[in-house]
Order: sequence, then structure tokens, then C-alpha cells
Amino acid sequence: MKGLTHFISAVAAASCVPGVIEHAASERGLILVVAGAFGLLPDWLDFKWTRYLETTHHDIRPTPETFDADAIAAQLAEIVTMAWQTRTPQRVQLHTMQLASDRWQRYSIRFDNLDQRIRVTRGNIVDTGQQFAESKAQQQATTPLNIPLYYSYDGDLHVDIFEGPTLEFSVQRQQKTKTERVEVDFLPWHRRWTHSLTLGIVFGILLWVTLGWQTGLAVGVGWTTHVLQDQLGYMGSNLWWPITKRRSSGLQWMHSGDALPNFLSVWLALAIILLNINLAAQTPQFSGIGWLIWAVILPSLVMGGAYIFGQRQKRAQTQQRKTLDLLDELNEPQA
Amino acid sequence: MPEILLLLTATFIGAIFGSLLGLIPALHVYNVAGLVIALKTVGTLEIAAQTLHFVLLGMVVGYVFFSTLPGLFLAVPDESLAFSVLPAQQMIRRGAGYTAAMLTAVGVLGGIVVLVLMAPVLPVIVRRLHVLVAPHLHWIVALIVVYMLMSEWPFSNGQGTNMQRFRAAWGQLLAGSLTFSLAGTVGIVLMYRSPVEITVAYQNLLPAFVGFFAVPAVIQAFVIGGVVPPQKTPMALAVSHKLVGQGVFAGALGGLFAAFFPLVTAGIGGFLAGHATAQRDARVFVISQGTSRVLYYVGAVVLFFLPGVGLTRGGLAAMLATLERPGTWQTYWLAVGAIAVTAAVLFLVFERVAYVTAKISPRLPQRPINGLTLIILLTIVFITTGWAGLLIMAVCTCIGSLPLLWKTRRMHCLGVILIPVLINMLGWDDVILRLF
Repeated sequence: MKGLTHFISAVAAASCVPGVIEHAASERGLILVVAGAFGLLPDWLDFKWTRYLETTHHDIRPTPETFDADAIAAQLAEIVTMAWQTRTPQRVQLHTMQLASDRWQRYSIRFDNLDQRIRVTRGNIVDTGQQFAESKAQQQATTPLNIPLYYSYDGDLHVDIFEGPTLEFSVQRQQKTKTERVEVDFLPWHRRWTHSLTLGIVFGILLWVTLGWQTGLAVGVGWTTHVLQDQLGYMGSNLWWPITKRRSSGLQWMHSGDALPNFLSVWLALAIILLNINLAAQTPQFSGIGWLIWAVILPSLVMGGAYIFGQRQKRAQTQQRKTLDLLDELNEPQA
Repeated sequence: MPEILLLLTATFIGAIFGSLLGLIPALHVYNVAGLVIALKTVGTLEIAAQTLHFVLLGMVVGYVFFSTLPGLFLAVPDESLAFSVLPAQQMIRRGAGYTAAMLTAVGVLGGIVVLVLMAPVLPVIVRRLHVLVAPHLHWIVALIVVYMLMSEWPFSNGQGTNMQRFRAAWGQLLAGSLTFSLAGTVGIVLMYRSPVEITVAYQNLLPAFVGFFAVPAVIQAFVIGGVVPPQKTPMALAVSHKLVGQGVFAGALGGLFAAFFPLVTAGIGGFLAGHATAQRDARVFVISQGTSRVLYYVGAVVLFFLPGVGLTRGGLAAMLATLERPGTWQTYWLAVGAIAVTAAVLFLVFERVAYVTAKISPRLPQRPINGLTLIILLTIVFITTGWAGLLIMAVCTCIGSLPLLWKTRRMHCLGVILIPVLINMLGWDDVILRLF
């Protein structure tokens, strides 16, 4: 989820803590502001601190002039093999190619779980909003792997703007099948200890003791809201750090950057805050039931429905594209 | 002349005047509006208060449309444009300046449509919201401040070691926080011990805003001395209805938020709406900023016309409130109608002016124009606020240059209003007064 979504959702959750809204109005209290800050803190810690403390073992640093998809695919395959053979996690930084202040040469990587291969594609030139800017002749390379590989993300991994992603390859044992495979972790420094419920509880208790139970509870629910919202996506988080060591997968209902779920969350958060303000007001301005129907339930149904419909259409198109890909492969020898 | 016709004519005259003002680089409609109201107050200008309301309303509508052109083609943005100018200037560098201007105008027109459609329900919504939210404004403004500071993510292209990237990232973040703090300090001084003469107190913030937003951009453009590349003027805008809808929707959220909440400017509103709707497309962003601007500037005046609520939001409404407050439903509906008609006409005129501007801008000598703009800015500040104003402007120019040098958000300069008013809202004035 986006930063504002986490921030305002944390405020909404904290506004449900008894007495917080009243305290804010009568005492000029700032508990809700503290809760909002703690709602954003997990990402703040990751993106401003943790990412710089992590070391990487390999760098893939292509240049626009000498871009070689074959070489990148081969290098990635070599790193996967190294992780498999040495049984030590291998972390790789995929660097971006900046062409101008607002122009980036995109390349994409796909880890194919079924066919056990890595595909690297040079894509189009995009702007900083990751939107298409100029077309570029596609260059593609595929490298097969003889190692079981697993990547939980559902699509191409685009490397385009700013710093580029980090990947970690590590050997993991499957408890069910008693087999091993190399798992690909996207942004291994993200959503680990900072995105744990345990830390939310610790912060909550600390602030409970120092600033009172309302602040403690508000901060605790603010932090927890962030962590739980992130579970709706693909990446998940390490919920019970330090008891658990790895990130668990998310529910895969949405991508964190999808516009509609983010907007719906912000909308619902604002609706909840206003509802709580109304309930705490000396002269309420609207009926709580009517508000729930018109501002909460109806928008949820409309926006949620539109998102599900859009996702289904996208999936159908992807399926169609996969079929076309297969047909292409089938026709390739005849071409 | 029937009243309706008189007020509509007044709006049109104001719109023409505002459009011309908007075309003059660095001149803000509020500077002139302030002078006009001052002339009316001292009795030099003999005009009925209601007619003057409509003239100024038209001026704001005209200004919102046409001030985008110098903001885009001459790099002289005001506060509300400072955030949209970057993507739009990138479009100019690709020869799509005309498209950027028209997308902004589409956003402005979209904002007017939203305003007109919402006019029947605004009285009910605004009155209830106002009653509910009034006791909570302090923490809402504090939320905005905290989010502004916490949500800035470091910009880096990933070159260098971890430590080098860490230092670069935190250099940018600290420059942002420093800008915000320094701007806030200037704001506190201006609020509690302003060196500006009391007789021009209504222009107290003018030198600060000029220093923060206009002068650094003009100096930068002057130093770089770049040229505008040839601009394409396509017959149709390469933007789908869906994107227009997205842009207007996002901008409407931000603009209405900015118009309703005190201290929230169009820039902040647009910024929050952009985050709420997770925009990525530069075209959607440019459209949304147009919508946000018009709803902030014009929406705030419409709220001023709303009878029985007593809302004063935005600079113009604050100045108009020194005259008499319009109090009838007839005036409210007249204002809404006048805005709609004026905006429709201005949109058509704007297209032609944007076309001509796009055509001639590559031939314009940028450096002399920037030099002239700088002289205009200095003159305006000196005439309105004297030497003290120039001093404030100089200080604010230094602070306003920090974001340009460290690639941090220029919005941090809004600490100049956010910090002192937040202190006031939280009741911490005593602490500050003890310092003076």
C-alpha cells in the first residue's frame, strides 16, 4: 500500500480507540498524529535506514549502449547456481539505466517457476512515472536452469526507475515435499523486523507506560494496521519477528501500487474518521447508519466490485496472451 | 442595467483583467486584488461591494487559466504551480508544451464542472462538515505537516556504495526538513514581529512567497539560460476520457480539500490527492493540478459566497471579508453561474493564446525575459512592502533555493504558514511570545 494509505488508515484505526477523538477536540491532543506517524514508520525505517545497511554480493549494472540480455540472464543463472551449490544466500542488486532526468531504459526479468528458466527482456524507455515514453527495439534472452526455482510474484520484474530492486536467492526446504528449491526474495531488506506485529506490541506497551493507555493503544493499532494492510499484497511480511525468521507470503489480493484499492482504503479511512468525529460531537450532523450505508458500504461495493472486475479482465487477457505465446512457440520451428 | 447583467459583465471584465495579469510573469492576482480592495477601503475606488466581489471573482478565474502559461513557458511558477511545473516542463523539453498547457486547461475546466455540479449540495455538506471539523483543525493540520515530512523518499539512481547512497539520501531528506524549519522560523517572525509596515499588513506574506517560489526558479532559469525547443501543436490531445476523468477526480479531491481546510494550499491538496489516488501518468498529474488549482482558488471564493456558513478560506476570501459579506442565495447562484459562463469562454480563448505562446516561445529570448521578470518581482515587492519586504524576500530566496539545490520538495517552503498557524492552533503562542 502507498504511504498515505497507511498513514490515514492508522489514524482511522486510532480514532476508534475510546476517548481519543474527544481528547483531540477538548485537550488539543495529538494522539492521532502520533498514531499516523507510527502507521508510516515501518516503511520509513525500511526505505530510509534498513536498505542502506544491507550488503549485496553481486551487482548487475547494464548500460544502455552495451545492453546484453544474454549476459544478464547468464549472470543471474550463475548467481542462482552459486546459491544452490554453496547453500548460502546470494543477494544481487539490479541497477537501473538512467538516460535523462526523466528517461529510464527499462529491462524486465521473469523467473519462470514451471519451465525453470530466467528470461531477460529489454523493454521500452519509460518516464519517472514508469509510463511509456519512447519505444525501443526489444532484446530478449532466456537461460534454462537445472535447479528448482521458486518466485512468488506473478509477473515480470521491471527494472526501470531510481535505485532498482534487490533480490535474494536462498535455498529453502519444503516441509511438505521434503525437497529443496532456490527461492527468490524481492527486496530482501523490506518488510522484515520493521513489519512485525511484535514490534507494534512493543511500541504500544512502551507508549502505554510513558504516555498513557490511549496513546499506547492508538500507536499499537496504527502500526498493526500497516502490517495487516501489507498482507493483502504479494510480498507479505515477517509477522512475528524475532520468533519467525522469514517473510510469509501475502494474500495476493492486490498489488501494493494499485490505484483503486489504495483510494478505497483512503476513502474508508476518512469515512471512519468522520464517523467517529460525528459520534463524539455534541450535536451529531448525520445519522451513523446512513453514513455507514452511503459512505462505507456503497463505495466499498462499487470500488471493490470495479477492482475485482478489472482484475478478472486483466487475468483473462494474460491468459489469452499466454495462449498466444504458446502458439508462437509451437509455430516457431515452422517460421 | 439589470442586476444579473451587471454582475455578469463585472465578472467578464474581471476575467479579462485577470487573464492579462496571469500572462505577466511573476504577478500574482492576490497582489493586485489586495491593492484594489485597499483602494475601495480608502474610498478612492467607487464601486459597489457586490460588483467588486464579482470583478474579483472573474479576475481569479481568468488568472487560474492564464497564469499557467508563464508558469510553463517561462519557469515562473506561483506556489500552486510549483508542483505541476516539473512534469509539465519535462513535457516542454519534449516539445509538448502546448499539450501540457491544454491538459492543465482541461483540468481547470473539469474543476469548474465539478464545482457547478456540486453547487447544489455544497451548502449542506460544507455547513455540516464545518461544524464537525472545526474543533479538530489543529490535529488535521499537524497530520499534514507530519505526512509532508515523513513521506519524502530519497531520490537516487543507485550509483555508489551503500554509505555514499545513504549520505546522499539523508542529505536530501535533511535539506527538506531544514527548508521546512527555516521557512517556519520566517513564518513565526512574520506572524509575531513582522518587519513589514502595519499599513500593508495584508501583504505580509507576499515577499516570503515571492522569495520562496518565484525568485529561485527565475534565477535558476536565468543562470541556466536554456532555450525552449520547438513545440508541437497537435489538433487533438493524446489523452483518453478515462485519464481526464482520473485527473479531474484526483484534482477535485485535492482542490476541495484545500478550499475547505485552512492552511491547505492547492499545492498541498494536489500532492495529497496524487498520493491518495496513486497517480503515475504525468498527463493525469498535470490535469489534476489544473483541477486542484481552480477548486482551491475559485472554490474558496464560492465558499465565501455561501450564505449562513461564514467560511473564509484562501487569500482572496480573507481580503474580501474586509468588505461586506454576500449573504443571499441569489448572489451565491449568480456567482456559480458567472463562473461557469466565464470559464467556458476563457477555455476557448485560452486554446488560441496557448497555441500562439507555444509557437513563439522557442523564439523568445529566455534570459532577458527572466531578467525582466526578476525586476518585476523586485518592483512589486518593493512597492507593496518596501525595503523590509525586499529583505524578507532575499532571506526567503536563500531558503527557497535549498530544495532546488538538494532536489527536495519545494512544498517544504510552506512551513512559512503551516508552522506559525499550527503553533497558534495548538495554543503554544505563549512560548513563542516569550522568545520575542
